[in-house]
Amino acid sequence: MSQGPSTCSGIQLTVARYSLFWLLAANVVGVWLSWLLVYPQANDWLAPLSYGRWMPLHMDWHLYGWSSLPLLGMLMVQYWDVSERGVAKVGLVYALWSSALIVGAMGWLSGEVTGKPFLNWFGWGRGYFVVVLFVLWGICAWGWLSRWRKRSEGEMSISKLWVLGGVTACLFLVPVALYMTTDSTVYPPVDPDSGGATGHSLLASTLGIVMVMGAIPGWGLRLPVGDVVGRRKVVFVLALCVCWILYFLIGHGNASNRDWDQIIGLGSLLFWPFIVAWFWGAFEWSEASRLWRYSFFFWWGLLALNGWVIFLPGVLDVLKFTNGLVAHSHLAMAGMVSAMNMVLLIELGGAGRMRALLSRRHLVVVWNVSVFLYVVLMFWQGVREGKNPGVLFCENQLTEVLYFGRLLVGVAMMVCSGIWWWNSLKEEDRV
Amino acid sequence: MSKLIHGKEPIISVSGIGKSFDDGKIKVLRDACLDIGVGEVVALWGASGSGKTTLLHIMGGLDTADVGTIRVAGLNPCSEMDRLRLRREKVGFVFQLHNLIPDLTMMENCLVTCVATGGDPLKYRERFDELAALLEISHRSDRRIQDLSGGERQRVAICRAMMHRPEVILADEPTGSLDERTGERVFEILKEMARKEKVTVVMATHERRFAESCDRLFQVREGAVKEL
Repeated sequence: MSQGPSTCSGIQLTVARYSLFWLLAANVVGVWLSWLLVYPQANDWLAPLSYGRWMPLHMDWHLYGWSSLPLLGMLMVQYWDVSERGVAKVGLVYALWSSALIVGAMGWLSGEVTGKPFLNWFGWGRGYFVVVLFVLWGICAWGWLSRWRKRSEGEMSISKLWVLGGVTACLFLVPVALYMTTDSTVYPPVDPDSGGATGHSLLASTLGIVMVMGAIPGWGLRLPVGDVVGRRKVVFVLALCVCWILYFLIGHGNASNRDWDQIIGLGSLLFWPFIVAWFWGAFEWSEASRLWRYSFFFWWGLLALNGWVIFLPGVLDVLKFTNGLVAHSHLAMAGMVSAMNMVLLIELGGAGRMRALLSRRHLVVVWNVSVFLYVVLMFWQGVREGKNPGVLFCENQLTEVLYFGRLLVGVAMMVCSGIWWWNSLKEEDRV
Repeated sequence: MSKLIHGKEPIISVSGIGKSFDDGKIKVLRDACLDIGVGEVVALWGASGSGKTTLLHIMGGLDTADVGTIRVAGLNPCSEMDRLRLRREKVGFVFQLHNLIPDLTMMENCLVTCVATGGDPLKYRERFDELAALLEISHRSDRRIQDLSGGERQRVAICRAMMHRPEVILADEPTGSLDERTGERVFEILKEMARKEKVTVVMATHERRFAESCDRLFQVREGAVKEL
């Protein structure tokens, strides 16, 4: 390993600045949405940009901005070295990606949406994002070719170069898949009893994420390994194979959450936080990421349990289309994904002050306590709505109190993200 | 320029409206023109697919026209800037399938309007009591929509449409899903409420007998509008 992650602080800073900017931007919109629910008359201030226009920005900037960019950073350090040219190319990639988020936002604000919450690319925004993705993967392919030409210098092993080449080729399928799935006539399987996602589709998508998690410490971050990594890797891969076999054995298509095979299939995900924690334990992580790693596994464990319980017949009937599912989404995005992304940003390079900034204990605590309070408040509201929808649609004091509480914790999270982003700008590129 | 009705500016003025779907392949409205005065009860009469609902949707800011001009209560329903105020303050909608929220009670369905407009809940509660008494549904106010008959649901829909004291009620086949006797009763209630509240009503219907009972009758045929 000639190029350790501790040397690529220039790329780390670029990735952190863009990622944290989009975290802040999405959180600002989130706070604005919370305010609109507390004080609906505020919709008039920016009319016609009312609640429905801002909602896609919050969700899509989180998903395609904050949630995606640190993972993209992990990919970038595979292609580029720490030279100024490498940092410039990564900067170009992030600027292009960000421009797609801005073009998308203009469409969402003008009311152009597909109606699919996480596949909301429509019209010009859809076309632009697809083109941007092709350009980005083209830049990555160029990076791979550069590495291939220099293979004799031993920067990367031949086997790893082949794997990276395969990954790069697969990336070109992403814009094609995105273009197809954002078509308003294309729909994934739907649970006929709940109207929501099916057990098997949730299982498959989560297993895909588990595979990424498996690749993070060794392949992605190239962390030093301990003696036990080989054995743990075998167990990890075996467990993954068992789950994929289970996925292929259970029913597909429009399956119901009342079917036992769907319940068991989704229940198999409950083991994964423990397996991944055990697997990650075989690597030597920096002390700076410790609190975020603990947070990550805590949120993921809670998310898996919460997701499975919500999926059960009787429970889903009460909680579907309520703030209970908002709590679940928040657990996933602000809890699990955000903690994982912080781990990535810290471990991506060796910028010491950057690491210190992201691991500041009081900010980590404020963020995670806010996430917890948010989840409790919205889950409480969700249960109330499930029992009596009138508490949501009509004047109700407790609903107003819970919404106001949500606004306060949202502001706390926005302030945290603002501090992280602002301080990341003050860091110097030390290549 | 719109003509005066009873010496006053019309509350609804439609001029040269055209609308098509599916990239222009399906032309629903062609050069539609009409003027409606304050307080009139007007019928848009025509067969299914003639363009009545599309015209109502354009008047209410639920859809936009491809060409032409339109003013409703002094606002332009095709303008994004005007549409919010139009829908919130000026217009009330009664749909054929009522579009009420089934899990909420009758009263809650009507008070939803208060949340959207940010009005005083106490005043809205008083307004609901007043309208529910006029519509003879007070005794059912705590019942959920799913427990009500078709006629009762349509009366709740009328109540909800009038909660915010709109200047115009747009009713799309309000009797379409009801039996003959209930349909007649709902139609009479709608006219009665319009007179008491001094509100203009535009009602789309395919039933000639209801259309002829209105103050004015416009036939909508293959997208063209003609007064009979």
